Amino acid sequence: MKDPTTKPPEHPDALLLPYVEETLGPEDLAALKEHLRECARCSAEVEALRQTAAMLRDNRHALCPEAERLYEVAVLGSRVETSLSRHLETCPRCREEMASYTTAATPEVMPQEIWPKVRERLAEPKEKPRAAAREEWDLRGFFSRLFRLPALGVAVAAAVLVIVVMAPWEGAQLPTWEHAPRPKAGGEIGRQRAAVVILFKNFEKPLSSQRISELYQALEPRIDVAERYDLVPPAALSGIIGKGYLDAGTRQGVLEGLRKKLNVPLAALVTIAPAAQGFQVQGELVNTATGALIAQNTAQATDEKDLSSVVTDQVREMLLKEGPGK
Amino acid sequence: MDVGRESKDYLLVQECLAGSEEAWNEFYGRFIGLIRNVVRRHGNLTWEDVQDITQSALLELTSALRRYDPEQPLHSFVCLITERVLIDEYRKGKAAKRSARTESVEHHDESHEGTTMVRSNLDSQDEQVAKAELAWSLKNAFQGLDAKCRELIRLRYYDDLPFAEMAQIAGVTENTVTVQTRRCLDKLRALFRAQETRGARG
Repeated sequence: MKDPTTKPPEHPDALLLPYVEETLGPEDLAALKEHLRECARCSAEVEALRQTAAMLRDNRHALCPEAERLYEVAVLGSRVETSLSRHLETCPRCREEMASYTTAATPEVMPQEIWPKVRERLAEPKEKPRAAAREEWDLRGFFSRLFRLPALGVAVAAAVLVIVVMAPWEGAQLPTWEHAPRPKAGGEIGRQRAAVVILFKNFEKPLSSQRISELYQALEPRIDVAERYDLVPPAALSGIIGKGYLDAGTRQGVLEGLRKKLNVPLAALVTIAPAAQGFQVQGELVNTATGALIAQNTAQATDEKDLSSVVTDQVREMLLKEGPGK
Repeated sequence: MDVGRESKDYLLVQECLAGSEEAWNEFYGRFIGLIRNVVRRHGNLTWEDVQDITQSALLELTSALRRYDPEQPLHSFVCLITERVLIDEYRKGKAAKRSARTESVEHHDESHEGTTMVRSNLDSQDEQVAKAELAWSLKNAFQGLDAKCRELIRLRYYDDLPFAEMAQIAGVTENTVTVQTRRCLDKLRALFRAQETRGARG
């Protein structure tokens, strides 16, 4: 029961989705409609929610589990979680896909005309390393080696200079910054598009994926940055790394991936390395097309728990004081 | 981690790379269905396109297996390479559309370039490519969400469950489930915008 003495929220965010989905009761509906008549912010949110909901309903099969997951269940006997079981009850396409693995009496036989082509490919010389040969990095396997092996294996890897970008693929969910403020209407025009990438150097034992995610979450832009820069959410970076588009092993690869895959002309690279007392944090503001260094700063974090604030302050300083944004 | 299975996968890969026809027959039998299913999910492809791209993916794997890391499940690696072949084919299709060329090929052959993913008149090609692009971006954005968000969005927008029933399943109040779903939609929108930016560069 509502407390009549409670002041109604300025923006009734909790009511917007039920309003879009037409599940509001009459009293809330009337109050919200009144609010929307005068609130451009909530009206814009309602429109955005409507578009997202419509897009989802028009593309329902985009919500199906990955083919890899269905294969794991049908062929490898992987456990079926409740959500998947529920989905299979309602999705004939996924059921059909699962059945495709189990209904064939015998495995398919390779057609005769394919074998000569396979042999020809096998006979080709090994590909030369090239910037686009992302498979050579096999990023998933790279992260697996560093983050799933016991500490001994990782220490061996650390004997060589190791630059690891961001979080391990497995289980890593980088922030989307969905609460990042937006500039006033019209303020989005003219902002500089940029991305922040955190690099780790010489770590014997990497930070946990949760800690890395926290570092990125702390970088969620405040209004002063958001008014000048269109910062790419970290989740978008993990999306392209997961697909192998970002060459994690070289600075050039990082810049090229940002430029080509996310259309980012400006990168704030933050390299964290263990130091005698805590961590050294080096920030560089770089033109992704030319590699030119626009700004640079260095700071120390005496403790891991200070890393978030140190990294955030460095990035803000570079972007606000040295960067080209507006 | 099933060490036994992973060792067998690694041995199979080594035998394939050594040129064993028997090993390739085993590889084909185990994974051609998976490759085909990965391909089939994307875009408005004809059966011929699916077959062509499936074969392209298989041939790409003959080279890519050299870089297979046994720390990774072999079926995951197969999916990864197939997705990349799909993206390459998709970009070729978009490039062909932009240059107003539509090449129709009867058979996929290593010497033929410019395979298009969509075959119809130019007007509906634009629409079909745009739809396929949107679906692809949405799918990738959706997979970027955490498991809880994926579940909430599936329950609402695939299963069409009312919020009250979703709340029962999730074990929370209806108000909580609508707030949680709203947050998930916001995350999805942010990821989708990032995907669209990447996809627009083709």
